[in-house]
Amino acid sequence: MRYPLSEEHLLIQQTAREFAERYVKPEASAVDRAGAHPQELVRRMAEHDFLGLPFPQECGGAEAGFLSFVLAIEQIARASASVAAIPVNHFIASYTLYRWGSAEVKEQLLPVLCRGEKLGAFAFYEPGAAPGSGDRRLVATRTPAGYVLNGTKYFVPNGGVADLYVVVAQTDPERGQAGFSAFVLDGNTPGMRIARRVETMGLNGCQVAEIVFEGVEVSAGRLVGPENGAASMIREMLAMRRIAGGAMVAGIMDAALEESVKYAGQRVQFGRPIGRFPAIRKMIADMAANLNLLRLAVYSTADLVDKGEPFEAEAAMVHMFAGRTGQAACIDAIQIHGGYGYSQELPVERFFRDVKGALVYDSIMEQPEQVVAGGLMG
Amino acid sequence: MANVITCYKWVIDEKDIRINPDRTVDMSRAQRKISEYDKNAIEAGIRIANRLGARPVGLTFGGPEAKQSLKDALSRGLEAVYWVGHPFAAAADGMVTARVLAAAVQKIGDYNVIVCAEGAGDTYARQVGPRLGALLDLPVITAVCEVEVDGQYLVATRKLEDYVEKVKVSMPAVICVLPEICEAPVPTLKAVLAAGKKPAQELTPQFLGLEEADLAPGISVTGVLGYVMNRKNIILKDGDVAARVKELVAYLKKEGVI
Amino acid sequence: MGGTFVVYSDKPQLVLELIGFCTGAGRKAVALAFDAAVAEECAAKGADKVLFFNSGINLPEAYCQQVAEAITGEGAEGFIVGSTVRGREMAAKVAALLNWPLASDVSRVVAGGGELEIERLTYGGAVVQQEKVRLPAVVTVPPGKFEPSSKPKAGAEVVALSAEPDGRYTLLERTRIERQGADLANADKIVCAGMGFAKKEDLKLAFDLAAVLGAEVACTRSVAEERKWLPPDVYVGISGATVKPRLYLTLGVSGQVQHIVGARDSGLIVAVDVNENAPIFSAADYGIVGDLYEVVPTLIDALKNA
Repeated sequence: MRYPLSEEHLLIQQTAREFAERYVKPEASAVDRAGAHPQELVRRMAEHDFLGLPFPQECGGAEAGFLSFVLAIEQIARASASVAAIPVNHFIASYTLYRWGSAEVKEQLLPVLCRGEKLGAFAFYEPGAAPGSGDRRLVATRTPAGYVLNGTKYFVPNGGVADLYVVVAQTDPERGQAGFSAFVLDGNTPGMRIARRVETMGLNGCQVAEIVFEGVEVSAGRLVGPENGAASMIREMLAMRRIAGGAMVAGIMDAALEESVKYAGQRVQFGRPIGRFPAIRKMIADMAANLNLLRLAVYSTADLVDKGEPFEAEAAMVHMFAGRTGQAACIDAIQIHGGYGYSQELPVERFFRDVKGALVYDSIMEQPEQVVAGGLMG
Repeated sequence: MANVITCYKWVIDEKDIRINPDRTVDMSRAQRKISEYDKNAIEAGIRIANRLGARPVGLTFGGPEAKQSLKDALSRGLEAVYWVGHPFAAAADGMVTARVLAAAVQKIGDYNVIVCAEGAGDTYARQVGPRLGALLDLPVITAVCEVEVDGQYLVATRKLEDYVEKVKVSMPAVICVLPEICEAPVPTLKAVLAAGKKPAQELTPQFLGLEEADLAPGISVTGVLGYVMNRKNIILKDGDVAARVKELVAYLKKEGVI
Repeated sequence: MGGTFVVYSDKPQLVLELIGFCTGAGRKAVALAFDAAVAEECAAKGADKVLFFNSGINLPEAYCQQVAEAITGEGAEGFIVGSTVRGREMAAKVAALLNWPLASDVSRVVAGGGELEIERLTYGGAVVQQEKVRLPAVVTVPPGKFEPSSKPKAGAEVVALSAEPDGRYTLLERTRIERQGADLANADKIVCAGMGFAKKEDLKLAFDLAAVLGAEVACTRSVAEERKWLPPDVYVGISGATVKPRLYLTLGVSGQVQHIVGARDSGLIVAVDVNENAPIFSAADYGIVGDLYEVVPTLIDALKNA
């Protein structure tokens, strides 16, 4: 698919595919089963510039734009969505610093993130229904030197393996959604502790952790963006996360489609390959059509980001469409594979578990349907 | 600065070829790529150029679609790439290809090593490299699995069916390398982006002084069929293992192989 | 039809096969030899004429210019070369010097008047291409395509030629390859191990079965190159060995086209694999769908008692 891809984009896509086929695909099943952080693959992704791809050169990046980034993520996800999830979460942390970090934070921290010398994580969720609402909510209290953080962050992707954490904490309980601020913390900051690893259904290679903060002192310089200004930042990041998540889903769908076509051509029943049966052909056609449309949506929305145009509503649409079609494609792929699809001998069951994970990051504050309808009707 | 010229071919990705039940071959949806063996050759050329303090460049002959290969080739570490584009390339045989490449090599000039892969991923005819050497009147070493530079000489280890030979030739020379010569790394994404800023030059056959007759092949393709194995396909999958094995042994006896 | 083909191979047996092809095509066969014994053998077994380059040669490729001149001197319309590393290089250089087309590694060749019809494999063996080659032309032919010639022809003569080699080449060393594994090219039966084996130690099953069958053990590219469980000279496939045993029995081999192409001329292909949809079964005469860890011990017992 070409639109809106330039020759350069196509070459990024092709090179990412070559990378994924050579290094990621052979490890995909082992990464999923072991559920361990694929350190060596992350190092390789860093070496091949995946971790700083969209950021400017002066920040240590490759300055390729966001569309290039999602193209690369799609190809990695086609081999292993677990592995793709790691640079996506790293990107969210890096983007926060790039977009809203002080000059000092940007100069100190962004290049090491872009070069992949340090891994980033974004800590947003809490054990309660919404951040700032539960007993264990993370609260940042002003001190003369800056802030002190107390509370818990739950479901932090890259948690436990990251070196830098962008953490959202409540700074003014009176102001509701307008009372949150973002901070950037080193993983070894005193008082900050990985309480446990959260076991997940899919994306097993991407570590998810619960993090406890007990009297964690943060200097004022580590505040990212304005105090009480995190809400709009979160909205923007969530939108970018949705586009990248859509790219992950496209990668998984592509893999599911490829496996299904191959299997349907080989598996013979009643004297002919099952790929000749109308029911199977319909499933394959649906998968292919939805994949094509999802790609169009993901690429064109990423292109909006690169062009500096509004993209939040389109990103929400990507999320809605990816959620529906991605899960349907993976269920159909299992169906086409019959008993083998359910077994762990073939990768299709993994696609189903992973596709759920690619889209699980969401917020009640910003349900995609609300974003889309809100844009139309207020 | 002297050039080390690596020749490569932009081929159809064999993974995308579909064989229909009637044995017709469908390549309509196939993507193209730099022939896998040529990726190793490009890396070998770069390494040789580094040892010689020379400039590694690429050269390809292909139809209009081969233009897409240029940045790909550059992203793999070449410093410049030359492309002879002509729609006749699709029907070219080894004779025409070697002729075109020889003319291009002479136009590029100032070369001390020309690197080719032993064969291309599509035709695997293994003739263009030595043919090119003969046309340019250069010594050629084929089936090379190791190469060293020794002053004005290349010393190459070549793998024959029963022997390994170490052969020394004076430069300039042509070497045809096996994929085991060196691994072909996947380019970094920064290298991909930098490729757009490197020079890529089109050389037309006219510019190279080639005439229509020079592009006329001596071999024409008259038919293309998917390969099918004509085998008995008696597959035993029912009954317990002992029963299946017993049945197989009976067949093997009947066939006279045990 | 008449006409003359010049033939050459660095493998004496292959020269005789090429002479057999010329005779079958109604052509006069002029053999090139760089070795006196080979020259005599060609003359005794069907060549119409032998050109013997009496040069104490170590690199036949360094004589391409003289070979091209000899072909012109014979007024030949074809140069038929055995498809080996040396042969292919000689063929390509001579084709360039004569400005003739070259059809490489043909799987079938029929000589008509003025042209050759050939078949060759492309795309790693997935596609068979039929081609017309206008004469004069050069062709390289792999071993085993034609019956070797064996009977002398009346008036066969050996003509000795002296020639200066191309001085730009120096042969520094020639070492015979010590085979680490089996001699697959001449094996009567082969057991081939694929990625269905979980551990290197388990390959013992393949060796045990091979011992009972009197077979050699080969493997797939992944087993040799990725896992490095067996030496690289025993992997079968497009980039590895091409084999032609009477029995080719695969264990845990999925049967990618790049593998099968190396064994497709085998007499009988038998496959054991757990995945009944594996492509190997469509390339096999007989197959057992099953876990090789169960099938092989049972098969060994059954063969011992057979």
